[in-house]
Amino acid sequence: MLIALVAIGVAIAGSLVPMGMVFAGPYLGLLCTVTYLRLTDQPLAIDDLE
Amino acid sequence: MPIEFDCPHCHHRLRTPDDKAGMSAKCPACGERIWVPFPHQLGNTATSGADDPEEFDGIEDEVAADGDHSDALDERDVVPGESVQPRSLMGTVGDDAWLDDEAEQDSAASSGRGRRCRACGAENQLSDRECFACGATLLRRGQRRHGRQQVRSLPDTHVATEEQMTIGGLMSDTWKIYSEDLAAVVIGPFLLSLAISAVSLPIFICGIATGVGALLIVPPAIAFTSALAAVGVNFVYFKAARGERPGIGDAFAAFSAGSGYLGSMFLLMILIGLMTFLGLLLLVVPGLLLMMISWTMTRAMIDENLDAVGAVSRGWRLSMDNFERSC
Repeated sequence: MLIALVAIGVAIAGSLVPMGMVFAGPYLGLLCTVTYLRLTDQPLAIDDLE
Repeated sequence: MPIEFDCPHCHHRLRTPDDKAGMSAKCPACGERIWVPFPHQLGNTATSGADDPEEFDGIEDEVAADGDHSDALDERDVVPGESVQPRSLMGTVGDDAWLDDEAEQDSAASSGRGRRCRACGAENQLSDRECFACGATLLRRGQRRHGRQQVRSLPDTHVATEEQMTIGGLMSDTWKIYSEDLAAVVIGPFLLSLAISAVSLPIFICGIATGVGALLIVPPAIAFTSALAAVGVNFVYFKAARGERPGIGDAFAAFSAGSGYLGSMFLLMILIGLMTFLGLLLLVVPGLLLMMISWTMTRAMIDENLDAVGAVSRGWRLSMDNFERSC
């Protein structure tokens, strides 16, 4: 029983890491792009929505 | 009030009513196709003033029908076709853009000609932002041609407020964009990385299997796949940040519209890799520092269409000038 729980836990954790990378990676990439645009005084699409 | 200007081809002085501004015509002197400038551009157009202007009204109806681009600042209905390579992936034609009709620009690009200025009719390089003859703006950041969709116009510059430049402000802005274009921003790069992995994995395995040969095969292969990914995902990120509604397929821009960047991006990846390696060898910290600021280089390359060395230089200056914020 314990082994099964550990196995399930590892499986969930193991799938969370790549899932996290799939979602967090683009966010970080986009963060860099947004920062670059801010540093170079270029407008973002959201600027004219505010 | 009539518009007086010189034919950019034969320099014959011409005069036409101001309601013809922005329209196409044939010069009565040389027969070349010209564009009637708007009055506010007359200061930029060449005016010899040597001759009495010749009246003409040879406006071409088909162009006149859609020739008024005075509202181009608001919205632009653009057509598919990425064959026109602007100054950068993100560079476009804008408000004063004098963009010739799209089909003609595509034709010009495919035939190896440049970008025609609508103000004076002069042929410019596709990479030019301003017309070499009259100075009219040809390219503008913040807009680019993409599919048949409405592209929202953005101002040329936007100086960020202190709040926007804080970590929280940047993360908040990023989240708004990220959540708005979640599918394209996540799925596109994910599919791209899957495709790249599927192709490159056998190369890596073969390279490693060759033993010493791995040194010759694996690092360039890593640099090349990194370049593919960098061009594709940055293409998507820039589009999302600029409100151009990226599609999932845009991540594969490196295989089509962004292909011109692959060579430079490949060299940039090698440069960054070498510098990071040397930096780590020296005192570790320089290598880590370089890793932390390398993202400015890839984005500068895509945004400004720089070569590898230029992108390193630009990214370095940008990072050092804003060290606290960019790190």
